[in-house]
Amino acid sequence: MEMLSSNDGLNIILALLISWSCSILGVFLMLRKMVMVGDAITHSVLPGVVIAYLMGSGGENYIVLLGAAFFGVLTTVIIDFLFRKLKLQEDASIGLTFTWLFAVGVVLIAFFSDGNADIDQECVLFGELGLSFMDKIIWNGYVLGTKSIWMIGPMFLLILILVIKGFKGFQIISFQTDYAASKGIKVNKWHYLLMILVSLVTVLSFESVGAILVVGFLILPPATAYLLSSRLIRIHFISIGLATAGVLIGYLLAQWFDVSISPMIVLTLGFVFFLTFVIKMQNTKHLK
Amino acid sequence: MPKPFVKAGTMNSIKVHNASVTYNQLPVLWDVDMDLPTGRLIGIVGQNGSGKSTLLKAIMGLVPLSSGNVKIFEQDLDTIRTEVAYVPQRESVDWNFPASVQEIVRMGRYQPGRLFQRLTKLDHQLVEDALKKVNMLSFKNRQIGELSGGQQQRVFIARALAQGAKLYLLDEPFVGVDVATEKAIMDLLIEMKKEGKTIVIVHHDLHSVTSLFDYLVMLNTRMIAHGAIDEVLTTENLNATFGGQLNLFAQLQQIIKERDFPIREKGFEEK
Repeated sequence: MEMLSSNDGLNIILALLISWSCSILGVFLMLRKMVMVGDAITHSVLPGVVIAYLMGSGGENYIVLLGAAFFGVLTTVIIDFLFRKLKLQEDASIGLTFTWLFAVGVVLIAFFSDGNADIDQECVLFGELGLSFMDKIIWNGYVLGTKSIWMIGPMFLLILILVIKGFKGFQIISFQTDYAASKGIKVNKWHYLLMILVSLVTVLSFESVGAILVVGFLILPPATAYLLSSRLIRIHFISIGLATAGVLIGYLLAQWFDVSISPMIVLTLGFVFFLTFVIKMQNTKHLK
Repeated sequence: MPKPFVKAGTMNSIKVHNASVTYNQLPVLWDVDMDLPTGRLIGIVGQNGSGKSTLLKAIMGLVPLSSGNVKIFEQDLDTIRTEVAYVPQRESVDWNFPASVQEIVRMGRYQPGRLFQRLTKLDHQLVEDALKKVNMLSFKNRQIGELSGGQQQRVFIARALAQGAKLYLLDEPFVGVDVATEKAIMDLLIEMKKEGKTIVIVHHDLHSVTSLFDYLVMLNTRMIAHGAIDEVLTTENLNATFGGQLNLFAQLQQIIKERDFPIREKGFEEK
């Protein structure tokens, strides 16, 4: 195995920032039983991204973010409409909405991607974390990170601040929406804030982890942490710890076996979940 | 937010005017009109699907009214929300949610304008007082899923108490609760009533109605009757409220018998 280079360092920093952002949002998605809605969002922001790329002729970052946020919210609105107004089953509403929007995105890429090197189907689906170091920002000979890091970094900070400051809000709408609403808390605002954040993080993770595997980042660490604690704040900390371990171990394994990185990270996170589950089962057996 | 001045006994606690709620074009509540007094223990009774819970939700603005309006202490709900505590049905709760008893009761102190601030010393004191009142202080660090049905219900009543409201709306608080706890909760509610609070309870079990409430709302999509329990608990009203249930006549006779010859401990009234 080669020694890790500074490029690996940049890739790892990016992966950590993505996994921490996903971990925080994932905890609330899980508790609100909205992981599948999160999954839907990760796919259906695609048309937003493509349209933004086309409009911004090569991807002005902020237009892309706007497009993603718009389609993320649109997804939840459509799902809600199908479920509540048309009385379609919830899972059917979710499946219908995101596959259709995703298809729109894929067709758009197929039509317009010739000559546009910034966006292709492979990359959108699976991402390539190993290449993230290529958009390095260099100043006076010093490497100041990469463009991707400078995009997801502020996003992570924003999520962190919002969740710390607005912890009570996210907690109460996750626990009992009706009760929160009865207190005059604007449940919808909190709901859409969460959905917008999920959309933004998804888009920022596209290039490195892709639309499919990002769900693993969203749900695996929180689900494992959920097995280990029954306190919301502790679940957050454990989840971030697990995400960190998963990224580091997964990255090294990917280097070792020379395979794609983000699938290896998700694989590792999955093993950690399984291991936790087995240990927990053993312990409860002992108690009985 | 200025605290509206509310004095017990001088005005209506809840005024519902011509309220209708429809679901899939079917009426769940139809043209309900009522004035509820303050400082009473008020029961809302009716069959399954008679719109009892919907009435509470409509009062709390959780389901949209297709017509009519609701006033609380003669004001709009939004100006007076802190004075109203709502206790949803136990079924609506995810008991595996990672929260301790204390954390749940703290939610009683959450307010829209204060969500971004820390809870104050006073908040924490009120939470502790509320837990003490329902006898759950020693359980404050338990996860809510580890409690019995009755304990869970007491936690939710503590949360309502911590809010310091004047009007309490409880949706089926005695479901899944053992007899001893039902009694304990009832004693607590009677004590709250004595302090001038108004308590409205959606209740499905006709047998205990006479021993629990002093004021009754009888609902069957439409308002059948509301008033002091001795006045409204007539065969005719019971028929209109629970009509269509064949085995009910036996129950009715039992209830009327109980009303006329109540089996109660001496001094129950003073409790």
